[in-house]
Amino acid sequence: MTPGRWCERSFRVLMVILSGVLITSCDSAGDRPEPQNTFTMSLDESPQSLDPARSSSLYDEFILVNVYDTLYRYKYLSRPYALTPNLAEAMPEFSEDGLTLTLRIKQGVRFRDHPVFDQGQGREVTAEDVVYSLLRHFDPATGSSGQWLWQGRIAGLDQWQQDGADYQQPVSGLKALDRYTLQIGLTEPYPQILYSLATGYSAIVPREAVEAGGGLLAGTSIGSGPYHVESFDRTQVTLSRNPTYRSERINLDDEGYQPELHESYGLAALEGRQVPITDHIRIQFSTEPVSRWQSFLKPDETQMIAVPIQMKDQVLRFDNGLLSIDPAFDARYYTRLSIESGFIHFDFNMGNPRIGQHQDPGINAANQQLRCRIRDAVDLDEINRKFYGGLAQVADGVQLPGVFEPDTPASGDQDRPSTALQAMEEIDWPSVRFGASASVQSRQIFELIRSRLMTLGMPAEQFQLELFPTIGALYRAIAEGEIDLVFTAWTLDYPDPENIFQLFYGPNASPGSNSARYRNEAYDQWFEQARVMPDSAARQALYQRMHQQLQDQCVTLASLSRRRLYAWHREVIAFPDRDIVGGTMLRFVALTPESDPDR
Amino acid sequence: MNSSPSRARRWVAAVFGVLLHLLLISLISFALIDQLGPDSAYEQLGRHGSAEQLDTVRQIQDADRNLLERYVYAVNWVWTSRPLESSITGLRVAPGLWSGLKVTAISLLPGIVLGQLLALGLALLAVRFQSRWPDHLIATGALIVMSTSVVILLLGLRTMLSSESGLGHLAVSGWSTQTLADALHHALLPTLVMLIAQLGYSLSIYRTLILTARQAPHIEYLLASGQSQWRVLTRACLPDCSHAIATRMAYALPGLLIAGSLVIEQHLQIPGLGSLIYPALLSGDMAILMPVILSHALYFLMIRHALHRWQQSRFPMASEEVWPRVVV
Repeated sequence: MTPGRWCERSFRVLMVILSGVLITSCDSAGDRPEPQNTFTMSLDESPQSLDPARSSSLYDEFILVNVYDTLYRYKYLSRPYALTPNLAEAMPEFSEDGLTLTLRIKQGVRFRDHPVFDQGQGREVTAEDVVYSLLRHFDPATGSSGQWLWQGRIAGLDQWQQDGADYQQPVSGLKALDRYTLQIGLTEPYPQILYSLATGYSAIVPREAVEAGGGLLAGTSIGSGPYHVESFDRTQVTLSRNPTYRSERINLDDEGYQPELHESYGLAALEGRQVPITDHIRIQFSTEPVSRWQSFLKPDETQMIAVPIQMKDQVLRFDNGLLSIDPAFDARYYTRLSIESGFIHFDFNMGNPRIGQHQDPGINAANQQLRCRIRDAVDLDEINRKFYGGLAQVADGVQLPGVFEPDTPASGDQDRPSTALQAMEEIDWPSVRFGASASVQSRQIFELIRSRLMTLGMPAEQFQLELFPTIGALYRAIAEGEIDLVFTAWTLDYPDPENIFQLFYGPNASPGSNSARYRNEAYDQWFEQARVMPDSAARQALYQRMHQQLQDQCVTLASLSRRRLYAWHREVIAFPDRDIVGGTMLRFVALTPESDPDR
Repeated sequence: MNSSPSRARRWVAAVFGVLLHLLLISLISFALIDQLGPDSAYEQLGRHGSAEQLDTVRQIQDADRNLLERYVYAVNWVWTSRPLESSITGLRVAPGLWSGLKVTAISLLPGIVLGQLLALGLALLAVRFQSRWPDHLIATGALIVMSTSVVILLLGLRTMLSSESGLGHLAVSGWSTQTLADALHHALLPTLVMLIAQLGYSLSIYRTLILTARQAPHIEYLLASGQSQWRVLTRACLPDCSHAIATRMAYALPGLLIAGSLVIEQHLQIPGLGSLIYPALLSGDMAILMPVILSHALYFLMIRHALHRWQQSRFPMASEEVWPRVVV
């Protein structure tokens, strides 16, 4: 064959292959939801896994709470956040000593139909399923990231793990008394356990799905939640109504409806509707803000987003210090500004004797003074203005409205940054490594802090930057003491001060959540006392002391809670929330009659 | 009778060579990712891990074994029936890669193929009008395209064709192939980006190759004998440099696919190979990376062999052995 003929033939073959690929990859139209029935939104990251035991981020959780049942869930509209029964029939009964709780689950709830079940029909969810789902986290073969929620808290669970995680062996603190009754025995009072039973980690999975193997749960859902996963990849997930979901109607009063806050969003129309309201939900995962924004502005793509901070000028107006929504934008879209359930903080490495805690009281005091000067020199308001559009809430120390707020402002004058910026003489500046996840913003924040520290007299070369490509790499560096000032953020797992102050509890030192590697006997004792107490003035007083100690010892440079500006199309009735209520809101999302041909 | 043992030896040598090649490539890649890549135990546990849990996860990941043992475990799916699952997400790898490959094929391959054909056509045109205004225009265009970042190109085209402030005809992001119209709505933008992004490089190379081929004495003779320029270029020059062009196309293809999928798919939320490979690279997910590395190496072996066979058919004296020379 001549080369010319060869080229010609190759070209034809290639065209045939390309056409074949294009045609065979087109799915049949009947398999997918029609766009008109679908609510679409975007998130700025993608979930890693849909297996509740493998979930590790709020993005995983956002999906999980829709496709699986949890015993409790957060009320849709209540702020401060409040729990309500979900799969559980009612709130649990606690024993007098607070060590045993008994609860009943709803009868007749079924897992969705799937081939893992006999004859492909989903079976009823029982208390045994709840036991199994919690035990799974303690099975080493699972590699769960949610074990910490119940470790050392539920009687016999740790021992069960050490004895080989045999599911046939009973656990003294986790019993199915009958088909619908569950009893949990605690090692000590644990008031936060109810919150833990509302997290995605506690999602109830059928044993058959796990035993089917092949990572089945990682990419699909076999749960009893209001939706099931139609398709999932790293760029989007499509959820469809679970046809066997139980009949539940919305009672707005129970969900925390307040006309003055919610009426303008059209939420009154939800009263009495059956959940889930929308048939299909498509969530796009896009790390690129311009892409999310352009997609939102198109009428037929994304209907709800958290407005990227880079685009805030297209939405917000600052007139004489007053914040308002651009009238043209307001006419086209709903908006809501809400504070995140967490904060940004910069933790000192208290395990490094050059800057952290030291056995020698003199050196320890000098280190503390140094940390306080560094803390005071860094202007969080400036970081807020330059990097978060001035929308974040800057606070003294770790705190969050509605969860924990100090009684009195922390010690020190209000103009600390300017008074702190006096050069410190005769200091042997230690080398300080600033660590963060790799991003342009991390580098810019580092430069801003460095310029402040140089004003204090710190040589520029003593303040070094370490950027890490992944969050795992950053955590490892923290655990190995390679970072002296870590730029990190914390999103609350549940709205309780315990979840804030455990960040500095000694036994949680990194690789746990205590990135500061702070160890203080008094602090740890207060924390241990407080965490077993129900919400009370005495507990609040202990947290106030812990807060004050963190401030006095300058353990962390905190805090800055970002505000998220949600925007959504006018045809969508919703009250968006990404953190605590999270994905639970999806079952309440409705499309107005004009956009929903089924109604 | 004499040729059989010789052919058998050559086959044995070829198979041995291929295996050695794959072994070396995969082992070196594994060692580099293993030693320099992220610690996937931290990725998996997040910020709530304890030292004991880290140990447990590492045990599951065989981190307590030596490098060679871990390598053997990472590639033993090749000869066992062990279903490969992502060490980070738990998702099955084979269906994910297959689905990603299909999406990448639809979103990027048309752009690559059309880009190569357009480059070839423009190169012929440039040579036909060498040193005249079409040649200068094409060269300038190629230079501009080569100098423009793919990301800038992508953002510009998306704003023009997809966004509400532009024409708004194509999808800004996402992926759907529900119908042919859907597929076109989502695939046209990546196709255009891919087409333009590689055009400059390919065009410049092809122009040089065709121009070199045109200097050959037999081509000069054909031109001097009064045959038309187009006829000589397409019927004589192009076949003369077809091997070099095919070599460039075949070797560039995986690079274009992978680089394109990492950049374009990432920006447009297309669930192709890039959406799997990028997070796997960041988290050191060997279960996804090793099949990609092995397929990549195998592709080059196959292409090298095919091109060599073709070369051999045109120039029989060029070489005798194929496979051993591939690896030795």
